[in-house]
Order: sequence, then C-alpha cells, then structure tokens
Amino acid sequence: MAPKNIFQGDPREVSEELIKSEFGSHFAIIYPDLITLREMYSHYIKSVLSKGNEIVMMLPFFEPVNNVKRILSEDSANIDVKRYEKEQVLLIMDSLKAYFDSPDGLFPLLNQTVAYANKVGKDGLSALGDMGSFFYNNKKDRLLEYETMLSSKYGKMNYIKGFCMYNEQDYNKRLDEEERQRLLGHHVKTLKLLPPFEGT
Amino acid sequence: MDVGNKNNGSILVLDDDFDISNLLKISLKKQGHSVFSFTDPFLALEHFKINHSTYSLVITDLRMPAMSGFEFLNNIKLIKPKINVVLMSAFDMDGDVEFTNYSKNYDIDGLIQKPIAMKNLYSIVTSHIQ
Repeated sequence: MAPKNIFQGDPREVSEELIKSEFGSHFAIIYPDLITLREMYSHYIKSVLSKGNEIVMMLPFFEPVNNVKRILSEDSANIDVKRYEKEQVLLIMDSLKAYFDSPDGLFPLLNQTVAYANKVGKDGLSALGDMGSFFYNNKKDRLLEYETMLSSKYGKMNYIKGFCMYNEQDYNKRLDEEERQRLLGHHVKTLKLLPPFEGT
Repeated sequence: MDVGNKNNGSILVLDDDFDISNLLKISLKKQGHSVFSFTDPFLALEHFKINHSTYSLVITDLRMPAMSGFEFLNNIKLIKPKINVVLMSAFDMDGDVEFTNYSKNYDIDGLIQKPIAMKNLYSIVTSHIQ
C-alpha cells in the first residue's frame, strides 16, 4: 500500500495540521528528536485544551510522564496541567503501560475515555501515542497488526483522532522499506516533523 | 584518548541525550577515569568492537531509539561477556513489575536511577569497574 498523503513542516505547522484534522483521522507523525516533538505537542495540546471540546491523551515513551507535565507547564505552553488532569480532560501515561498493560492493548482505555467524553459533553478524544514502546518490547509484528486494525477501526470511530508518533531513528532503522510503506499505507496522512529552522 | 589515573580500564557511556552523556563523561573524568561518551548506539558499538580490550565498564541508557539499552547490553556482552554493564533510566525501575520481569532475561550488573547524585554515581562506578 503506497503512502497516500505526506506533509512536512516545523512543529507549529504540523500542530496546525493536527488541529485541522477531523474525528476518525489516523495520522503518523515522524519526529527527529524530543526537542522538536515537545514543541509540536505543547502547541497542539494547548490549542485543543483551550478550545475545550476534546479530551487529550498523551502517551510518551522516550521521556517520563513527569517530564511531559513539566514541559506542558513551562512558559512557552503555560498549561495548567494539574487543573486539566483534575477535570480528566488531559491524560498523560507511559506508552509502555498504555499499550501493554492490557491484553487488548490501548482499546479498553480508549473506549473508557470516549465514554467519559460522551458523558461530560465533549466531542471526542485526541490520542497521541509514541510507538517506541512496541520496538522496545520487541513487538514489531504486533505494531504492524495494531496499525492495520486501527486503520479499519478509526474510520468508524468518529470520536477519536489517533496520532501515532515515531522517532525517526526507530522508523529508519527498525523497519525495512516494505514495512515502512505498509505502515504509512495504514495512515490517512503522514506528517514529517522538521526542526524549526528546517521547516518549510 | 583521555587516559585517567585511577585504573587501566576505560568507561563507555551511552545516552541519546547529549547533555547527560556529556555530564557523565565530564564528571567521571574529573574522578580520574578515562571515559568515552556516545549518543548513537551503533557508533558506540562499532567503537567498542574495535576497542573492547581497553574497557572496564559500560554505562547505558535504557530507552533509546533504534536500539534499546537491553539490546545494546546484549551486543556488548556478545563481544566481551565478562564486562560489567550498568543500565540507567529516568523511568522508575525499582517499582516497575514489568521492568523487573523483563530484566530477568538480561545480564544486568547494575542500575542507575536518573537523576543521580554524583557521589552515588561515583560509588556505583567504583563498585562495578573491573
């Protein structure tokens, strides 16, 4: 399956693409380093939470949960993390636990969060998950299976935006060309995140 | 090559975060150790293949893209089975059941929980360097 739609941009431009996306979207985000990724997710999460109609689920792998909370609370984003967590509209969890604690992967947590979103009158959920945990756990086959499953499920799940984040080194060195193409083919759009100074 | 006075063996430090690998290198060099630091596991492994006889200790981060600390440890031990390898992580390792179960499959000689006080780092290095 050939990749359908590739967009390259700096953190702000990629964040804007995510903001424009509709529920049911399933995008791949390929990021070069944590610094660039942080800038993108801070901008996106701030924007979504300030609009107030979505729940955000952030699942980091290469940095601890507390680190993400600190980044989001810092000056540039200045998000009141404690408040949003208390309101249960911001959920930050280690990707390893989120994808592997349950035999059914992320789906129980997604379903539970969507049910809560419906209950409190939100339109839906944005889920940003770092897929590095699959490689760490030697579960590349499960990753490809999971992405295939998501591509068919998300179209019907018009209350979830799924953003799968791949570190560029994982993507380039852990997957062969056929696997990369297959993986991209399962996403509606691929967003290649560039450091700010290289942005288009 | 920086030759330290403390012992004959060098220490290899690997962390994909340059600030951390550099901080460890500077700190351990101040203690008289010979240290080489890397942010890329593939480069570190290539260097180790060629220079393994000069090394007495390897310290590696756990969660890194392209090659995890577990995979790096296995590769190091294939080259030099008796070398001590210490894993370090900013993620909770002590209370993590999954880590505990998973780590049983690997020949880990020590753990460093980040952030670490320098005196604790020196103590771990002193007890593990061969």
